[in-house]
Amino acid sequence: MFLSSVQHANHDSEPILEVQNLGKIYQIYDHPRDKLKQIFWRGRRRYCRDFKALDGVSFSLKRGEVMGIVGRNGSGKSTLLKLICGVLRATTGTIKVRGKIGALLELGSGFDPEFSGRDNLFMNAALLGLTEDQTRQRLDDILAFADIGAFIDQPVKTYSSGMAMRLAFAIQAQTNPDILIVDEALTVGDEVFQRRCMHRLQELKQAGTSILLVTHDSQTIVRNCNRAILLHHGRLRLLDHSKRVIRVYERLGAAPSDQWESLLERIDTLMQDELPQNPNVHARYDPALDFAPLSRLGYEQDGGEIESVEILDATGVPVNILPAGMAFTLRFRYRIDRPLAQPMIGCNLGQSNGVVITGQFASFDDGKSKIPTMLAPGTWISSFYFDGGLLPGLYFIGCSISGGKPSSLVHKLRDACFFRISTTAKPISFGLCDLAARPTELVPVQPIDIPINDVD
Amino acid sequence: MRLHFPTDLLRWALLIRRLTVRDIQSRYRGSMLGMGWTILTPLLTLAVYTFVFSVVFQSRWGVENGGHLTVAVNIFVGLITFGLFGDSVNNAPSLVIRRPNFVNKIVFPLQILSVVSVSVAAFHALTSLVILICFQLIFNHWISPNLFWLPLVWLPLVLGSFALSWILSALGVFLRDLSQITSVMTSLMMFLSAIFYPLSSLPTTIQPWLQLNPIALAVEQTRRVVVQGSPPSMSYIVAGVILTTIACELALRFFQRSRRVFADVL
Repeated sequence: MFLSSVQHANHDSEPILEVQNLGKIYQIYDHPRDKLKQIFWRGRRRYCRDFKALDGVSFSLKRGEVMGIVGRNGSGKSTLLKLICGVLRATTGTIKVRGKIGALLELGSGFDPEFSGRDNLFMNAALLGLTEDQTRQRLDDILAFADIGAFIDQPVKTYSSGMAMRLAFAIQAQTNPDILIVDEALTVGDEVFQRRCMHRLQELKQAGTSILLVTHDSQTIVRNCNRAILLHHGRLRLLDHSKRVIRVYERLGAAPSDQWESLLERIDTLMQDELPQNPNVHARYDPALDFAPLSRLGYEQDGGEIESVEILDATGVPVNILPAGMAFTLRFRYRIDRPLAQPMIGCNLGQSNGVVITGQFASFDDGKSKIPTMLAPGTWISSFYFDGGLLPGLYFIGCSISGGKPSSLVHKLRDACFFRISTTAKPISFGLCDLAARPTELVPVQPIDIPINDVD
Repeated sequence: MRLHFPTDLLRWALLIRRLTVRDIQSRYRGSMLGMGWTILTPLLTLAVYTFVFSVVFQSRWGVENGGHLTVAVNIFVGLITFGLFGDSVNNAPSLVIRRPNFVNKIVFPLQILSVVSVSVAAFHALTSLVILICFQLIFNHWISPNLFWLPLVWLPLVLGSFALSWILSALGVFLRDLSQITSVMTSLMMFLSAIFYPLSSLPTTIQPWLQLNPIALAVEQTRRVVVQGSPPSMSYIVAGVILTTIACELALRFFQRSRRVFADVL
């Protein structure tokens, strides 16, 4: 113990956490007793199936560094964190930790629901190695941070998940760990609390605590992390600046999992048009992006179908990558099985997180003739023209066709397909979309006397 | 062999204490009498035994010419002593399985679960014993100074319970049937532990066999100290403490070794 703390002081620049070639193989047993048999036979017989949850992961964490970890469900994020904090034992590889680990794995999982928050607070503090006196000293800070008021003396079972989380975070944050491991925890609380957590994380970071952060919120990672790791099928696929990792991850987000491998192989080509020195000013078609998004959802058909959706550039060529600012057209093909009165078609554009940027309906009833337009059975094509205005990112197209009297849905597709707006050389605007606001020239409010005897 | 378990217990002393208190409180949480039950339960049990054995059966304790009360007191002492052991053993198989969170979700010193479980059993045994001593004071106007040997008499019992609890709670993770087996075994042990009869009342050919049962020995020694008021057998204490200390050390090592794979099974 003494030796290790001396090393501490001398090698501050040493990574606080070193993970080398870490692997975890879960042995899946059909029955718990098989595990006992397995121990007994010491590998001479096998009673289990292997599942590789983590494979050859290596990275290191510097003092005061914040590292984000992203990956889909089941990519091995939680396994990695559990191995680091010692809940699980690694099958291969080594973990070197130079300091105390605090973990916010599944918040409140150490709480006893029957007992009051205060009881659980003291219990948790004892578990984290705080003495009775230390806990009392920090009690006010913990209570102030958790901010759950009189609930502290109520049984934890009466808490909302957000409150339990707040209490757990408050306790953990007061133990001043060298490495703090946060798994999805911060998504539970409300906005105000999330901000406070982030603030506290920043404070800890300033004080030299290293943080490992797992969250599905890309923005949190971009804002808070220096670097990030992308895990896929238990393997570390990318370790880079958080911004770049998040870009890759978001790009992959829309792809079905069987395409991930091939996309990951080509990370560099995938990211090429991101590089500012290689601005992509042409709309183009990338076969790698040509697949139906996972989130695609077709509604029940009732007398027709939306057969295809195409994105066309200004020249009418089908594309799926467009430079920002370029006008484009969405072309829909409908098949109508029976005559459709008062047809109405709609389309919308949304982001990968489900936020719809824009959408409109088009009706062919001109409102004057009072004679409803009738759509004869057959195949029809309709286009929506967009003036550009989308910012770089991934966009999903939704579309619908309805009609009849009373009006009912014929067919509807959510996230029918997607396309990408690529970055251009000069940044144009920010936010959700570009409403084409144009600045005027700068005009002074009052006439300004321009000094003329400067020359003297 | 270096002893690890005492340092381990000391390291987590605060947590053990808190968990023990919480466990005791939680048993009666929400009931009307609350902690009153910790006193009332043994009191009622003692009343029942006194009534059954002195009024209904009018039985005598062995060949000695004691009163009816002696029977009840002797049986009660036996039950208290055995209860400490029996509760610990019966709880052990489910100690870890019941708390998969502690295995999979947080870093928790699982070995202290057994310590807490035995401590709770010891607490209940102790409150019962205090009531019994009060009972004796009231009816016999006398308690023996040899009562102060009690902690030493129970030390091997407690240590032995630790050891058994560690082994059973580790095995319980892999063998879910274990709790059924232990409950049958403890009730069998109860009849083999000289609780309802004195050892001396048995045929001399059987007596040595029963003395192989450490619980029977502990029961007899407790009776000597509490009921008869004579000092305990020194050889029991010395041998008992040494053997159970070794058992504890081995059991804890076994537990820590097998806990590595708990998370894979739970």
